[in-house]
Amino acid sequence: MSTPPRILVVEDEINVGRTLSERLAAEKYHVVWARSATEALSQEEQTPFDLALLDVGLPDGSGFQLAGALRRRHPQTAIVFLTAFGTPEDRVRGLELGAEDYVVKPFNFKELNLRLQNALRRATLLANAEARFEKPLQVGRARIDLKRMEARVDGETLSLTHKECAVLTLLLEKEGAVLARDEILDRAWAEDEFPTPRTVDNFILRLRKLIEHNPAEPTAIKSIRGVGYQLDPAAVREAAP
Amino acid sequence: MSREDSNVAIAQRSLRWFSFVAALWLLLLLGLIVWWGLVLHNQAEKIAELQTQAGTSTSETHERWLKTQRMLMWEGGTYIVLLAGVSIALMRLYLRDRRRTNALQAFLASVTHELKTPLTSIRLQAESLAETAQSTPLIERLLEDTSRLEGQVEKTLELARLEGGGELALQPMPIVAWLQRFTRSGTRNASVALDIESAGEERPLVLADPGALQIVFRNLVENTARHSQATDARARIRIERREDSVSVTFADDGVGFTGERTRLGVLFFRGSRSQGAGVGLYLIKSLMRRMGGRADFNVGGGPGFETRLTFRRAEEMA
Repeated sequence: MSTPPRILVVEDEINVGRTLSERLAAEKYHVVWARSATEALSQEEQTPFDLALLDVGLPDGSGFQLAGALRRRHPQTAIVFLTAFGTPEDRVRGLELGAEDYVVKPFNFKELNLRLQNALRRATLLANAEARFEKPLQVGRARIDLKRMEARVDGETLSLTHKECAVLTLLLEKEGAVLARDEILDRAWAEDEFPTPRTVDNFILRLRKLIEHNPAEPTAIKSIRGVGYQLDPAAVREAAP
Repeated sequence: MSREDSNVAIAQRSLRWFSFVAALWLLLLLGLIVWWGLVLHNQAEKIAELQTQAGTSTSETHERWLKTQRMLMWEGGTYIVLLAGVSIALMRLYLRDRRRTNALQAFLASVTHELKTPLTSIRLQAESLAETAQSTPLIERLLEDTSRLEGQVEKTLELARLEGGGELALQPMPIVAWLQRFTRSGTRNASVALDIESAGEERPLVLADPGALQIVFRNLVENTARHSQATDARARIRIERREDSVSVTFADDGVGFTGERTRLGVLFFRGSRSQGAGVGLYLIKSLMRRMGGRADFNVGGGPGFETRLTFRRAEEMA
């Protein structure tokens, strides 16, 4: 990126918020610090951010709720949760909300920075896809709008997560060619997430449910045994307005 | 808050189970009373019938028989009332004890949790000092002690969570890749060097919870740092694939353990040379068990302390 990535830090604890903002600014990010959900939404209204680093426990609501509100307004903003709660239930809840990552306090700053860089790298992949696939596409039975991160199926509009968009983008980029599982893992997942080839298979199953007319007998996303997946060009066309 | 929601859900689930067992017990007791009454009534009728047939049914024997019946009724009734009373008292005691334990666990978790925010601030500022100013031994010691405190907070919170019935989210994890990344950034103790050696299959998958793995290995690294004789401690991690499990052996170069091996991993047990609170090995053992595996301590014949972790293998789709 030519301009420094814009990061919104939402943290109500003054010492943590201030030091974190200063350290991130020293790493050449453009940082805006908000101390509440209301302040964060007002900041986001002025200019969208590339990444939002959200504390889960905020004085005027939870970071989970704020993440939902931010995603509705600007789906491209990558979300990373910063929290003192590290239970598996909380972690799963955060990631289910479409968050890029979930960092537990206290953390090592270098570790946090690495995770932010990974999240921004994946957000850039999506931003590039938006530019390339600016118009909505009809993939199988779903109308996919990568710019708005939405899928429209049988009259129902569904939000797509960053990862779903990333995997779809990779398939679209390689339309007609075989996309290896390892390539999907390398480009759509963070280094520290430890996905397995099975994770990719599960993701493809989810995408098939979305776009295939009969997910049990897929025709749009074909499995290439032992290698990966292939998106059939015949299943992709420009969507009707 | 989600943690509170989760605690409430666990407490409600536990209460539902207890109510179900208590209701079942009371139903059994009620059944016993009815059955006892019926048996007594039938026996009385049979005895009266036999007496009539034998011609021995005089008013005196009848009166004596009625007296025996009353006695049996009183004795049986008293016994059942006592049984019901003791049952109810036990249930009340159990509920009171559980409420008290839950309150203590919630208090412990909340206090420990409150420590996490100032700890984050201390670490951030100490790291800033270490990077911006000339790093002095004072800052290094500050960071070391922060790490120790973080370890204690993490252990206390996890202990309270597990004892409160908290669950794990198991998933297939590439253990070698995870350990390589752990040695790069997750150890928290920069003074401990880890050598990873993998035998056989390159990327065995194990069934584990990422958070639990972190706690298990952080505790082992912490123990290595604590018991090492050298300034720069070192530990060897060897990963071996077995038929339906994956074995990870963690051997440090510390002073080892000479006491009673079977007590290692018992909650609050501390070896004579240990400075810990006796929670670390217990957590390792509990977490490994909950992940479907096991932890064995002091398994090696070498001078240091050796821990063998056995994980369940996760199957992958071809």
